[in-house]
Amino acid sequence: MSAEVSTNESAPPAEKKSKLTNAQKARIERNQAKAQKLREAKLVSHPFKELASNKEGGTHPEAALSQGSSVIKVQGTKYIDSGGGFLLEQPVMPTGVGPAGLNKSGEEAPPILDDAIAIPVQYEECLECGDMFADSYLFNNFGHSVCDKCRDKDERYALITRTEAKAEYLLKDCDFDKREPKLRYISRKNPHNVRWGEMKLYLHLQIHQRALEVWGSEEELVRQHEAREDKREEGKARKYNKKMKQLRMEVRSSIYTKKTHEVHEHEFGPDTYDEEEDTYTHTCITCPYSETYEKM
Amino acid sequence: MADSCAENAAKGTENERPKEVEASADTVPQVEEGVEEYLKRKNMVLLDYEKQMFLDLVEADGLLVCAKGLSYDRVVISILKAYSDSGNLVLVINSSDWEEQYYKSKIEPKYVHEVASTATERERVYLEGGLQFISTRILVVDLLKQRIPIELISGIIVLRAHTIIESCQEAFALRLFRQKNKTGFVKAFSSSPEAFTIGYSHVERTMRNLFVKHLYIWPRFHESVRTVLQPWKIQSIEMHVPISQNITSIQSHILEIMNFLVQEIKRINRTVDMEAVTVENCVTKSFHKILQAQLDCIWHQLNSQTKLIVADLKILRSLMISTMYHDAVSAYAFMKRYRSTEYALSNSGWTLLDAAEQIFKLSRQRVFNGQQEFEPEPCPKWQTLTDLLTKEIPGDMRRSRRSEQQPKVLILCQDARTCHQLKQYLTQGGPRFLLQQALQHEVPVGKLSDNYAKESQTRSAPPKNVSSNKELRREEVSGSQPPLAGMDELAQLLSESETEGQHFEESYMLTMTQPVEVGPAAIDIKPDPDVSIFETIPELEQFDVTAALASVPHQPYICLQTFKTEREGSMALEHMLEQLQPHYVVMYNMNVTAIRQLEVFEARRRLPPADRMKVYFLIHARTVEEQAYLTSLRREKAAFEFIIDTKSKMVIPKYQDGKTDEAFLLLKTYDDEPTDENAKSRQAGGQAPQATKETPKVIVDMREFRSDLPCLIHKRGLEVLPLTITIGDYILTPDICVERKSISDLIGSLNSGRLYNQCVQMQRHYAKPILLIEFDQNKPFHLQGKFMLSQQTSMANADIVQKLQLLTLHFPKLRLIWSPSPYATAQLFEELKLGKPEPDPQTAAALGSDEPTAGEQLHFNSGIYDFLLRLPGVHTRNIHGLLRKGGSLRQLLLRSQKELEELLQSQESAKLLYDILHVAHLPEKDEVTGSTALLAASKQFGAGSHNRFRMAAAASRRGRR
Repeated sequence: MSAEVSTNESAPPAEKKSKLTNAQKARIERNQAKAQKLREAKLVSHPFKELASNKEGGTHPEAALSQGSSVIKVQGTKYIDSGGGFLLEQPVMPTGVGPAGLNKSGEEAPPILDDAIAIPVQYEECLECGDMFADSYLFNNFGHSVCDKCRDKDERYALITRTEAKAEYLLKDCDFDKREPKLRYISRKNPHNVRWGEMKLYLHLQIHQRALEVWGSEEELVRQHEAREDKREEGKARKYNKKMKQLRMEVRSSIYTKKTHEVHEHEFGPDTYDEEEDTYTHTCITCPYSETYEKM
Repeated sequence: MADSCAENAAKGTENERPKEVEASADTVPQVEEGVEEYLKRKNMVLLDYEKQMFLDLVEADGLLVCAKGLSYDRVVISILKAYSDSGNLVLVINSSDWEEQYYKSKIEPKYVHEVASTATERERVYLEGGLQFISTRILVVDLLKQRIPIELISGIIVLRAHTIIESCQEAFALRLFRQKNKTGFVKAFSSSPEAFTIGYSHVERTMRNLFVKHLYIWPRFHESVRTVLQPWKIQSIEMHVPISQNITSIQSHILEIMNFLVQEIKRINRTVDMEAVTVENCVTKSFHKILQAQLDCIWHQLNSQTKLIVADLKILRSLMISTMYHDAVSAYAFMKRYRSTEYALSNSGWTLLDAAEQIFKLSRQRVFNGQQEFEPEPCPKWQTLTDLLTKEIPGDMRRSRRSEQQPKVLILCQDARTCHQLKQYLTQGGPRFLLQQALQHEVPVGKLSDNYAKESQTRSAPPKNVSSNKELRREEVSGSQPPLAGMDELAQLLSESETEGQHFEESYMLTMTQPVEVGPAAIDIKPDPDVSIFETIPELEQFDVTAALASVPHQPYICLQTFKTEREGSMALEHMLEQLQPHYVVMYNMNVTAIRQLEVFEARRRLPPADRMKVYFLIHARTVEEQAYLTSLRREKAAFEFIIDTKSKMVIPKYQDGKTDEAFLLLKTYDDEPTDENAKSRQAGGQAPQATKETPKVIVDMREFRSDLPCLIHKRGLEVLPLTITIGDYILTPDICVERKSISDLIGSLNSGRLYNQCVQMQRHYAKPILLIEFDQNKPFHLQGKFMLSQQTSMANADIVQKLQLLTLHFPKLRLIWSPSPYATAQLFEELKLGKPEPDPQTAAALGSDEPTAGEQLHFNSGIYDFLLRLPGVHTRNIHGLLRKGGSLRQLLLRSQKELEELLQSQESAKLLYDILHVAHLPEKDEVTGSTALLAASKQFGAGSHNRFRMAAAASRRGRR
């Protein structure tokens, strides 16, 4: 920056000597000085620069001589502050050659090191064709190792909604969410109404396997289906009979009058006298009701 | 409620109750004793509650609402007999045909007059007094024309009072009666409490229209009714017949579909009050009426899906009835009809449900077995009925030592079809009947199952393990009928079915060909159920019960009867009970009215417990049948509770009976009524009477009394003059003539051309003809709504509007008045008459006839007038000058264009007329350039005249040559 400034300062006077007067030259110099002051006043010092300098001073007395440099040493490793938010790692050099090397690197552009992390690529084998693939629709969403070419979305790898799965395979919510391993799904907007709950799509193949885990066999599943249907029919018939009985009780009240409206009349036994409280007590013969009263 | 079907109580209790009744009879007040003597003298036997009804109505006029089955007919007969005298004139209105016949048969013929067809004869018959069963429409006209002496009418009896609100005729007649007669009675009867719960304040409005102040409510649970019926209650035996698994499943599936449709209809119509539309109400019989009452006023607003669902609910109810009561083969044939492709396209979609598929499958399973062989299952009640007739009743006869008498059994059914079914079953046996039904309904019978064929063989083949006497008889039977193979039986049944008609009778009489027991020493031989022991009595044709009973004196007698017939209504059952006096009654179907009629009949006979009727109820417990019966009971009970609650809150004005003038002051809106009263008071002061205002009059055509408008006009204080007029329907002033058209009538008249002719007549004889287009009160007041008349609604509306436009173009003087309801029309008529002179009845009657009348409009021949009006250039402003100065048609042809210009006062009109008279025009090449729509319309209407004019012009040219 200083060299540039000096270069800029030296070039204009050479040109101006041939044309400008002394008054103009003096004015140019005053304006340049004013601009330089303004630029320096606007500069804000880096808040961590002093700290870095202090650390360097504490560690290497010789490095303190080169104040203003952007070398930072952390945990035995030196980093070059590029000023753009990144720290460039610098290999450790001998102490004797250090200042000289540092000066050279300061003059020249710093070397760019290739420090990208090598991510190991894992390949999956397709269950259908045996090819190796890195990712596929079924593997990413459902964890099923089938490549995209072998995916037949209408037949073998059809999707099923959560509601249909529960109804068709008689599964519960815990069979989806809590039983290990958890079944994965895709969320879609509800086709009936956008504001309603989201539609969860599961892989039909996985749902089928989970149903076999829960019920044991397909025959057991069919038996459960039939049992539930019979229970539903019985419930319907029982509900109808209950409604009929209620209607019968309501309309033909003469049949049910005795049961509902019979009033029990007490038949009391002999009186029992309590001298301490001066009260009499008698009890019903047919029911455990007892009555206490006083006599005048 | 007291509809107890349990067995009778102990005999000790039964003995105590008659004493209580006798004790209570001793405390009857003197008035009732007098009435009882009077009733005995009149040969009337009334129950206690019927006496109370009679006394209440005789004391004060009122509306009597009683439960179905507790018929008020005896009370009506008592009142009619009380007034059977030449000095009384009693009118009975709003009766149905069978009611009229029934009451006439109970009254002495001397006092009952037939309704005469001519007015003069009716006038003479009225003066003779007595009883008149008359139509309300005829009565209204006679009251308006003063043919009947209103002051001399003793009273009016209104039957079926719950229908008063729907038509204004009875209210009109009663208002005319009460305006001039303050002493006669008005008694109204109704046996339909449910009808009073429909609509807004139905009870109050009915009583106001009837001019009665009292409401008498007689439900079945009334204390008097229970007191009367309890000691003589029938021996009821309720038999619960289990139904098969298939019927149970079909029933539950139909209920499921009904529930789905009911929810769907409520989802579509959220704003409509669908409270009454429930599955329970869909099952009952009166669902159609409930639905009509609720949806009729908004039927135009419903979409097509709702209408389809309503239609499907009715179909599902009929399917339910078919499954429960018809035989399996008929039910299957009926079910198959709704599984076709055509029906699937036109219904609301219920056939696509799983339950519908189950229904179709199960109904087929009832007819064919697992191997697709024909093996229909019998009706569940058939076996129970056979057991009753062959085992239970003979055993009971022997047990109760009534073996000497002839057992008489009455079987009551819901409809004629069930009667026919039972008759065929009892005479032919179940398997043969079902096979015959299969052939009739074209159900494919591939082959009979082995069990079914065995059953058929067993029925026809004689059993071997019988005694020698029976062997001889069976040999005779087998000799006359050789054993039949399957195919032969099919051929025989096919020939039988071809000859048999499909007519269902409402009543059948059967007897049992059981061998008569020789004596007490004879061995008790059990009748063989395999043999058809029932046969038809031939006296059925004459419907003579006595002859039928006499023809089989010692054999059991069985009568099949429906609850009500078309000829006698619900009185048919009472008639049959009186004649037959049955020992046993079998209720094959459940009916509230019939049960009560049996109870009342038993209460009248007052027999000891051993001699009373035994009533067997065959009912499917916990099915739709029981639900429908209980629901009808509950609805009736709720209706009575509603009426009782309404009665406790009603506010009845003191003048509601119409016996003071206050009731009619509210109706009239003219000021001349107080003026008349003031005039009367001034006359009392001795001053000279002032001229009073004349009551406004409206001349009404006789045919218009079928509608509500004359009643509403009269209600607004206008005087209605019934007259037979040929031009128009209403004459408001000497200038104003109104032709009234409802929407359907308007469409029909426009299409057929009748309206055109009517408008021609009106505009010819009246200065201000009016076409009144009147909408129904409950329908929307716009033409864009959907009508139920035509399915192409938009097309029909466009045609209507176009034709109305052409009509107004052709008749410039015609005015169109649009009215939203008859009430608005009455108000319009009143406003149109303000400040106008009154119409003359004689002039209105004379118009339209062939008599010559003096009028300004009739200076010219009407034919020539109409002809000239259609020529181009001639219109209403210049036609009079043309007619006066033009001379004849020949002279008109000789005039020049300038002379025509002077006649028509217009150069353009003269040119048009001259061209049409002198220049030959081809119709297909005519181009209307620069002419108005009037001319275009005139040309369109004058096409025929154009051709005739060309021929006349050619003839005149030949005349010149």
